[in-house]
Amino acid sequence: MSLSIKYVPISVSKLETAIAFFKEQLGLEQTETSTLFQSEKQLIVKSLNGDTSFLLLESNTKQSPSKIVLKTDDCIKDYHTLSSRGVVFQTQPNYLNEGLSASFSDPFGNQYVLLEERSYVED
Amino acid sequence: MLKYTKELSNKNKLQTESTCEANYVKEADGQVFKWVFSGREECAVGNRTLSVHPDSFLILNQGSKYTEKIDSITPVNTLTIGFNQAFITDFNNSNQCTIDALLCNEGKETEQPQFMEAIYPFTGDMRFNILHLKAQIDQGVSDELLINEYLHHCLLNYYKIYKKEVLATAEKLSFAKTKTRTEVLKRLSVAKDYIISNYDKNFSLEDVASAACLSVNHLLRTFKEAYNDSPHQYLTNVRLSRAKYLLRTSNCHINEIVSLVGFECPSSFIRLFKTKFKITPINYKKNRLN
Repeated sequence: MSLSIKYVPISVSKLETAIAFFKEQLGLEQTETSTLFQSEKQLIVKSLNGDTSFLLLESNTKQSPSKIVLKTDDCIKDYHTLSSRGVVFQTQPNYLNEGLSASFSDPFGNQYVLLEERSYVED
Repeated sequence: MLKYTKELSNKNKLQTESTCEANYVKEADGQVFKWVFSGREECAVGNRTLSVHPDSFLILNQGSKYTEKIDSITPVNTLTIGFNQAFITDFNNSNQCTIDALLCNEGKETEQPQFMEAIYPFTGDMRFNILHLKAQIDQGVSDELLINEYLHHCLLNYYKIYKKEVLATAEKLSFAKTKTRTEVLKRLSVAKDYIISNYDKNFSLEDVASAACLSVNHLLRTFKEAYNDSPHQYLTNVRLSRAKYLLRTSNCHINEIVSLVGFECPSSFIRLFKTKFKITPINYKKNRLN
């Protein structure tokens, strides 16, 4: 058996607002509507390189916010690109033991961390 | 020869070049940082000749007159950034808390980082960020805000390196007066740069001492205090790490590498390499190829 994650579910209170944020600010593309979970409006968006797909779930009840770590090859560049599209960062790129990271939230309070992993071990 | 030059609206300047031959006489316009990504470049500053390799970067102070020299069979790729003084002042003023935390200034009188004209290790976050910036330049980046974001991080990274290489090293010297420590560290830094720049040549301890304006005895005692190694051990480590770089990046035969980095005898090189890196040079090369 080989199991892996297909979609990262994200609870949103309004699907239209979420689509605008994910498409226009994060630069993801909308692929299709989904029927995976009954009784909820849902939509799949994926990153342009197709590595990550989010399942946006519209929910009327208040959900606890998700925390998602997004991998980047160049945190400074992506921080700059997203900032220029209007994403408001809670932290500017800062140095951790794991590498360089910066964090932002979506309009529903879900938190995202951009992480550029860096190996400081010499070759 | 490929050359790219850009002056930003805040007067910071960037230049990349890929060339086999160069001989330029220049004056540092701003606080100059220089990197070499392949091969080597020699910079003659005053009576010193400093050699920049891919494992290090060089800082030249505003107004320094220097000669850049490249003479290589394969192209040498370089990046030079000239930081405008107003950009640095503005950066220092806007990031005082971060700088205080980096330099451990809390509770002390605020100390501004200095730019000591010297060779520094090109490692850690500085390496990652500058390689990203170089990749952006190679792709023809025109967004000044993005370039300035990289330059902002370059200064942050330098201050961290400055804390380790200058402030922490000066603290190790057993002189009561700060002024004496600073002066001796400057001379030791000249000695260290002499070793780094001449690692592939034969030179004596007297040559290093003379370059640093220190007596041999004084050099031996204070160098070990500052850098934890004797000048000879330091030289051996530079030679071994440059040999490692050549094993990783070139097709040179081990005997050729031995002579390129200044060792006289392959057997002592192999023994020293194995002692330091816990692997033989041949196995290291094989592992890298796999």
